[in-house]
This record gives sequence, structure tokens and C-alpha cells, in this order.
Amino acid sequence: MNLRQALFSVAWVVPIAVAGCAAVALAQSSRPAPPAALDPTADKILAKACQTLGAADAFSFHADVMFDQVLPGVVKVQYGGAMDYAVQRPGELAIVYRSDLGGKDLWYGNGSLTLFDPKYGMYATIAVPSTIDSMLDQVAEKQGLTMPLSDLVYSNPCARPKKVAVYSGYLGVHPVEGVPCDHLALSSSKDDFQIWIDHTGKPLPRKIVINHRSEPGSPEYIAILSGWKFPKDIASSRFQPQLPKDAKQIAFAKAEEAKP
Amino acid sequence: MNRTIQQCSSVSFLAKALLIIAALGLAYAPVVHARGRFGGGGGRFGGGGDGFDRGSFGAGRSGGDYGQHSSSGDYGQHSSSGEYGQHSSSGDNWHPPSSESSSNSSSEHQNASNDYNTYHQNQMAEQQSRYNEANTLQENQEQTEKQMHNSTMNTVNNTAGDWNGGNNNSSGSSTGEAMGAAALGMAGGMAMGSMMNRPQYNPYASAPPPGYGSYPPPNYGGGYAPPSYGYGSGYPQQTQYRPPQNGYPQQPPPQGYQPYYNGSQVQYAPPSGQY
Repeated sequence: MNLRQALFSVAWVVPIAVAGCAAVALAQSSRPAPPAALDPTADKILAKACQTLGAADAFSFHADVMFDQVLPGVVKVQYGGAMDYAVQRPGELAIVYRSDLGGKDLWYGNGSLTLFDPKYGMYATIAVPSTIDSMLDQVAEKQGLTMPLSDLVYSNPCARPKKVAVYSGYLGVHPVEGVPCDHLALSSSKDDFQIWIDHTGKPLPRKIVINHRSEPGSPEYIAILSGWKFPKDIASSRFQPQLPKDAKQIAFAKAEEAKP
Repeated sequence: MNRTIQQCSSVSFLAKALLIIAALGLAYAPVVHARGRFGGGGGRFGGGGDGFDRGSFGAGRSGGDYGQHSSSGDYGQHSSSGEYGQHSSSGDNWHPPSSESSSNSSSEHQNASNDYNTYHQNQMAEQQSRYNEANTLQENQEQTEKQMHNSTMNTVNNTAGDWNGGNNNSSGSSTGEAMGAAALGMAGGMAMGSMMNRPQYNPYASAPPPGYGSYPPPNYGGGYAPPSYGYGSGYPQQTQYRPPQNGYPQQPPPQGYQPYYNGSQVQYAPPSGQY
């Protein structure tokens, strides 16, 4: 048997190896998603925070935010901003948001939502449902409009994060701005979410980090929450649009139209 | 004869084993790559807008997974082609809503659409050229810095660099030669300055000079430093990229374009009926 014959004798291995390769690849691609692994300790702490927020008739807080922008070449830069939230259940909400790249003022009440962009001096007003939950769902669906940290203002703030979470864990007591907090981590199939909840006082979120793991460059959103207040009522004037005289009215595009 | 057969059998067995190993390697290769890559791939870049549409986990579209929370102004939304560089980082793009107004005729629609596309492509090309310009400038600067650093190192090594008995690549050099090289402009005045001010370091030495303490050698300060951007992400021409400042003047929208809210972001579209 010469070398040629030897090589010929092993030729049958090639298709078998290719088939094996394909089988392994197929098995990996069709492997079912692992079952959700939710930590009961984390779940319990999160539930307390959600209960506190969900039970409040009115609350307000301040958030200092940082968010990444991923440029070509996966260069990632970080911008900052600040935001003030005011929530009056069941149907009033106000957000004042300013960032390095612009800002927004949002007023919601009496079944009407107004979004003002001070950078452009333009605003739009639309009729929306009269409860915060329905309004948030509808504007996300129809106008493609989502609001930062809006998870916190739903009547059940835990419902949506828990619905998409496939993993959660309790990471320990870690301070935020000197306040000891329970540090929790949740992950969906696409993103990672961390929340720090006050360990000793009222179980309120003190910090939130969202990592968009599935996006190029894994941009992060970081919010440090402070100034929590729970008044009985917030003055209704806070939820009325206060537009500059020269503000120009424009329209919302429908979400399906807004997509490129 | 038996020996020959035995040898051939060994060759055959080895070949089979190698093929199987190669096949398994091929099968696992994509998985390893996917785990190790930086970011989610796809060549898109994020951002857009003022960040108002960020920061929700689970909220947003009902029934949707998190990450689809914003269809507007969200990262990647202008990247249907998946090619990087066809985006605007400011989020102030002039995008038409796809319908809502009826066009007068299909040809008019087509023309307006072409106009829009041309405008959009021009805008993107302009932005890309800015990025490329910044990139080239940075690369040139880094190349110069690196060259200067290398020259400095050579000069230092050549001049005095031998704590261990002078047994390095520059055994034949002298101080005069090194100074001459510096004077001739290889490293210029900076090399001379650094030679006088900086500690002398021989990268080939097996031990630090007395008094230097720990190895690796002390920081030279002011020498070449790797760029803080670009870690070989695989994107062409962008591995050494430094983004331009956010101070480029914003291009005004084309004549007659109308503003509207695309989600939470103001964008511009051609006049009603023109697209």
C-alpha cells in the first residue's frame, strides 16, 4: 500500500466528518433556551420595592443619568443627563429631562400627553388613555414613544421586568452614595439589568444599570435615583403643559411609519 | 511487507484522527467566536437622540421582549443595511414617515424618494468623510509619536544603555553617534531632551539597574501611549479611531422639510405628498 492508497482509504472519513460537524452545529443552534433561574431572595426584595412604588398615590424623584452612545468602530462614548419625575396616580405624569444632547419636557394628564423638545422649540400633543399604564403601553405601541425609567411608574413595576427576566440573582449589600443597598441582577435574553434597593430604609431603588448586551458595543444606561418624595398629592399644575410662547406644534409619526 | 502495511495503517489512523479533530474544531469555531466577540456585531452603531428613549427594562411595547422598547431614535434603527458608517450619531436625521400622506403619482413618489435617498446618502457620506479625516489625522499623529518614541528608545539604548556590560544590539555605537542621529532629526530635540531627563532603560536587560526597584521599568512619562480608542473590533479603517467632538455644526434640513416626532426625537421629512 503506497501513500496514495493510504490517503484513498481514509477518504471516506471526510463526508462523515462534515456530517458530524453539521450535526454538532445544528444541535447547538436548536438547543432549547435554558430554564429561567430566578433567585427567590432577589425576587422577594424586588417585590417589596415594587409594592412600595405601586401602592403610592403620588411620588416624585430625581435621577442623574449616564448613557452610552456607540459610534462607528464600536467606539463608545458616554453622555450625561438629569431627570425629574412626578407621578400622580392614576393618570398624571410629568418628566423634565435634560441631557448633553438635548432634552424633553413631558406632561400627561386629563387624557392628553404633550411632549416638548426645548432644543428645537417644538411640541406635539396627543390624546391618550386616562391611566398611566394604558398610556405608556399605547404610546409605545402607536407612537414608538418610550420614557426613561418608565418601568418604575407602572402600577405593578415588577410585572414587565419579571416577564422578560430569565435570570436573577442577589449580589449582596453594596452602598450607593453611602446608602447600603441590596444589589440585584436580572437578565433577559438580550439585556442585563441591575438595581440597587435601599437595604435599611424604605425599599426604594437607588441605582439602576441597564446593559444592552445584544446591541453593538453593549451600551449602558445608568441612573442614580435620589430625592424620593411621597406626598399625598402633587399640584395639578405640575402636569399641565407649560410651553414657551413661540413653541411650534408638530405631529407624532405613527410607530410603524417611524421605522426606516 | 508487513512493516509497510503497518506504517500505512498508522498513517491512515493518524489522518482519520486529524480529520475528526479538524471537523470538531470547525464545528465549535463559530461558537467560540460568538462568545469572544466585542459587542453584538452587526456593524451598527448606537445612539441617536438625547437619551430620552433609553432606560427601560421590560417596559414599552406590550408583549415585546425588552430591548425592543423603543422603535424610535433607538440605536441601530437607521441601519437596516447593517453597514457601519451610514448613520448619524446626533439622531437628527431627516427621515420621512413611510406614509400618512398619499402621493400624487407613483413616479412623483419615486422621484421624491430618490431625492430623499440622495440627500440622505450625501449627508451620511459627508459625516463618514469627517470620521475618516479625524481617523487619518489621529493615525498620522500616533505614527509620529510612535516613531519619535522608537527613536528615543534607540538613542537611549545606543548612548548609555548598557547596565549589563553593553551587550546589546548597539554594541558598536557611541554617544557621539547617537547624538549625531538625534541632531540629524531622527528623534530631534525631544529625543535629546528625553535622553537627558528620563531614566535609562534597556529593554533587553535581564535585571533593572540599581535603585530602580521593581520591574517592569518605571514609567517614562510623555512617551508613546496606546490610543484610548479602537481595540481591533474588526471594522475596517476604524481600529484606531478617535471620534470627532460633538461640535460639528448641525446641517439644516433641506428646504421645505417638515419636522415631526419620530418616537421622542424630532426629525424632518419632505413636505407632505412629496414622498
